[in-house]
Amino acid sequence: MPADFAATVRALAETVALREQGASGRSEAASRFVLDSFAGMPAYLRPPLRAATLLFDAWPIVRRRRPFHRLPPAERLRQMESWEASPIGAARMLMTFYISLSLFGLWPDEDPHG
Amino acid sequence: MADRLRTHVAVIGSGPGGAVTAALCAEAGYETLLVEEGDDLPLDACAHFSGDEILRKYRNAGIGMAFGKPSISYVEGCCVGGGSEVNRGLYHRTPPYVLEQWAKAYRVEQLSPDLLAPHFAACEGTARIAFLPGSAPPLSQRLGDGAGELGWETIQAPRLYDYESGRKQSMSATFIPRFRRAGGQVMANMRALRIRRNGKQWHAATLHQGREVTIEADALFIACGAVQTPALLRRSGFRHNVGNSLRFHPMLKAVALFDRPVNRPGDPDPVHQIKMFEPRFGIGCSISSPALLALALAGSPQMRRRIAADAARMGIYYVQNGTGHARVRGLPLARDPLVSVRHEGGDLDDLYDGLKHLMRALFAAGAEAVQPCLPGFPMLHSVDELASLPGRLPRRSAMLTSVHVFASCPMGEDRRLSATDSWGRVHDGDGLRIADASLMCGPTIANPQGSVMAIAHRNALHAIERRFA
Ligand SMILES: Cc1cc2nc3c(=O)[nH]c(=O)nc-3n(C[C@H](O)[C@H](O)[C@H](O)COP(=O)(O)OP(=O)(O)OC[C@H]3O[C@@H](n4cnc5c(N)ncnc54)[C@H](O)[C@@H]3O)c2cc1C
Repeated sequence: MPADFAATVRALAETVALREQGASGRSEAASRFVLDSFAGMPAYLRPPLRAATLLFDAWPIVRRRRPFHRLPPAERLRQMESWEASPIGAARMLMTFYISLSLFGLWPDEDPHG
Repeated sequence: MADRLRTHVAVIGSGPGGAVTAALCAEAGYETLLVEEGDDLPLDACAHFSGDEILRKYRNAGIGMAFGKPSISYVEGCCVGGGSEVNRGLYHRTPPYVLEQWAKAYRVEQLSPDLLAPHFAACEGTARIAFLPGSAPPLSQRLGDGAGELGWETIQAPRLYDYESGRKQSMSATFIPRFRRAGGQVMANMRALRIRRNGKQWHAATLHQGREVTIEADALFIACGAVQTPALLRRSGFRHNVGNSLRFHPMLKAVALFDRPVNRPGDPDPVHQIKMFEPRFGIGCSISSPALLALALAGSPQMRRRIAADAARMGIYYVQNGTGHARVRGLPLARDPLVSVRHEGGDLDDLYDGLKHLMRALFAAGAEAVQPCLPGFPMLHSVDELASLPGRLPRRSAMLTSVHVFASCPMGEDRRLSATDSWGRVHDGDGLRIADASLMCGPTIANPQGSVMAIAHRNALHAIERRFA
């Protein structure tokens, strides 16, 4: 059960969607937006972000014998929230990145602006 | 397409600086190529401020970072028309005191408000500005009301917008059609990799659909925006004061929850601004769709929970100033430059003070609750609770955002500070010119697009009069 980048992003978007009350968007659309954003971001940021994401995915393997993306929803939420509140800045930043982009994708913006 | 393209004038970058420059060169009778890395998309190819727009019209999917304490996350346009295609078009001429300060500190020739006025007027003749007809939307009006209660002045900013047709006056709707009418050619999806002097010509090595194409030009303008211009110049060996002084308008935001709906679908963009505290800080209001509310409140779950039921009563407001001095440096083998920023304490303190002023105005406007958009900050229910906030902005956790970048290659006759002369000619650059926001000598304080266009207009006419010497 190796860590899996795309599956982790999908699982994070699903976890954010689960926590978000009333968001009308679908987690699939949110995770697609996150993956597209990742593909478009400056190339030098991608390897460290991918590595940090895979570490996040692999984190529960020792104790739970499963990566994050294979955990049940409640346990995913617990892990996401513990990293969100982590004293380690890099862990918090990783969660901020995924949660912000997932939120943006979950609240679709259909109204015209002008 | 041939491996080599020959032209009189090449302009690299099609944002406001490049588009104005290219239009004037083409109209003066020069064969002109306007080279743009991004796509050539119609103005309405995607909904404004949507995820689709961010992925298709922004550089790097809207992810740009200046690393520091605190870091600044910034965005740039990347399509024909550059930032003008994705921005809100809030418009101001450069404040006279800013021009006077630049002229003095950098010894910029002929940059007085009077001398620049005809260039502003000429640009406004093509990219038209207008005040909102009728009354401002409630989200905007509330900022005016709150400021009024406190005895502060507000203005309603004009925009580069045609309210009759409901169309933005972006470059793709104004200067680029003018450029094309004059016979100019736009080359989209073409990224300049490097430039070099070859005899009496400039050669720009570009990448177009995976193929290398060399552009050979008698005159060359670089207008890639304030981050990409110094990156391209440094890659090409031009380093004197290039990329050492990038500036931003970093923002802090707050979301207010009002007693009544203020944020109705289809309302025009908010336009109120509080400018009386500038340059310490300026205050304004933002588009506040549910998606943008969720993004602003990503670190503030308590207020975020209200979006589903109360988005119509919520509005996003911001305060900004000129904190942060940044450097742009190339990284070996990487396409994008590394940007690092340092802040002077006083500027950050001013910005934080500005956030508190903003929140006072929102409570004075009748907000039931105000959420400062800073991780870990509580939702406030009265102006008295402002006293409970930390005394200083947390340097590590605060994330600043900016949509304005400039001043990475400032102009002027003082060679110790400037990268170009007063007219955008790169020092010792054999007539190579810069024509974008990089040339500003510091933050414009006001929204910058008007300044970028007027200075590009002034410098392009200067270059044409001298036949690009
Ligand atoms: C979201 C947003 C909101 C904004 N709101 C406002 C506002 O309300 N009012 C206001 O006055 N200003 C606003 N601005 C700022 C304004 O848009 C910019 O100041 C202005 O666009 C800067 O013009 P420029 O010509 O310097 O560069 P840009 O507009 O950045 O254009 C540079 C162009 O060069 C291209 N380019 C870069 N590198 C290369 C290369 N190597 N080869 C080929 N092409 C290249 C880029 O893709 C880009 O299209 C906003 C900006 C953004 C992003």
